[in-house]
Amino acid sequence: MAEIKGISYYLPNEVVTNEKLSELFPEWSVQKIAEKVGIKKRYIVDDDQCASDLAVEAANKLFIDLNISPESIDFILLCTQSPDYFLPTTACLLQHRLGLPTTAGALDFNLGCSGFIYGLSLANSLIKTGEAKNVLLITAETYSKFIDDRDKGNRTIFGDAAAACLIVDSEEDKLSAFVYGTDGSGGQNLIVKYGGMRNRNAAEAEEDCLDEESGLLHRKGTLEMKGAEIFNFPIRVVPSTAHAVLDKAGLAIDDISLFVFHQANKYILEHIRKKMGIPEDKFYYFMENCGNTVSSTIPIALHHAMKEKNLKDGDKIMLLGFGVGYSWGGCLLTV
Amino acid sequence: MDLQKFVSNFESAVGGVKPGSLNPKTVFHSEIECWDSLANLSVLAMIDMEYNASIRADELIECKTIEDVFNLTNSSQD
Repeated sequence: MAEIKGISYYLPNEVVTNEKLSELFPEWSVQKIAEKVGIKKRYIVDDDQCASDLAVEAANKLFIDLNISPESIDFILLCTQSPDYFLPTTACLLQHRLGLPTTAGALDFNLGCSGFIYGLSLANSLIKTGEAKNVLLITAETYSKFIDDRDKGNRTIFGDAAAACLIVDSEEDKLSAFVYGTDGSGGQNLIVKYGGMRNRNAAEAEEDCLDEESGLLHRKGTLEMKGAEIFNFPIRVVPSTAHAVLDKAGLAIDDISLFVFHQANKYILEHIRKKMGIPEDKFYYFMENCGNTVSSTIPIALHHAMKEKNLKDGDKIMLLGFGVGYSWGGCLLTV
Repeated sequence: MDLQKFVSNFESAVGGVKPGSLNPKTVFHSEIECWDSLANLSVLAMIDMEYNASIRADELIECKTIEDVFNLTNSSQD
């Protein structure tokens, strides 16, 4: 059986405030939109910094915070969509940089905003089946490198970050009721079309194209998001997934002490919260000061929630991630 | 479903428009000055909350007038 022993995270140095975005895009009501999405600032990497660099910072912080040795890790899972290279696997490079034993298993998995849930599920399964005892799960993303400078919408929403989480063998089953969901028909709604094997023409990736929804130009090889649809699909899948988690555990909404969902956009989360009848004090937000950090939003929010909320042993927290893919998943965490 | 009430809900969802300035024949994409992807999202959220109907963003984009959205909502109610 498995439990989360601790979470640490790292934000890069360069801060992008709403004021700075307003200076860059004076024609656009950044302030109004930022208020609606619930973000005041976000942090981004510099040109030389990759997801692995953020991962190293977050993991080393975790080792210090928990006072543990990297030697004790027997499996590392890295969730990223911005790896350093196509190959080798970034998790293998992290094994070396973090000083993990060469007997440790290491793998990357490519998921976005649902990634932390899937990582927890993998870690939970490795531990439950006796394949590992101390799993280091890292989520690390640098979406800022995918975003065109002119793309004010995505620059408002996304921030870069990494979070490191230690999942260990435990006497109690503290991770449970995993529920998954996938709908690849939504793949085109949040996509980077170039850089993989499908579209290999690097010159073409640099050509401008028009985003019909926003009316803005962006380079073809940068992040494309159909905002209205990408923020609308959670309305369809989040409530049903949350209820599936509850059904699996035989619990009701009132039995849950805290809901920590992917911090996509405050507007849509508020809508979901109200529709599901979740009281405000049980629904945790942490996005104002770091933005949507993709797979790191849930561990970052959870890190703060565990400190701020007066949670007792045995309390149940529902975690739920959803996004690019489309991919979604939820589970319960017992304090 | 009441069309006038729907127009009024539509107006509140968009925000930033003068109350009573929209009507069923308003071509919302072009005639509402502040129409953007967030307004789009707000309308979808309003339809989900008030009418328990699930509409996709691309379906909303295909509508021309508010009345078209009303009809789409009517046919999509759970």
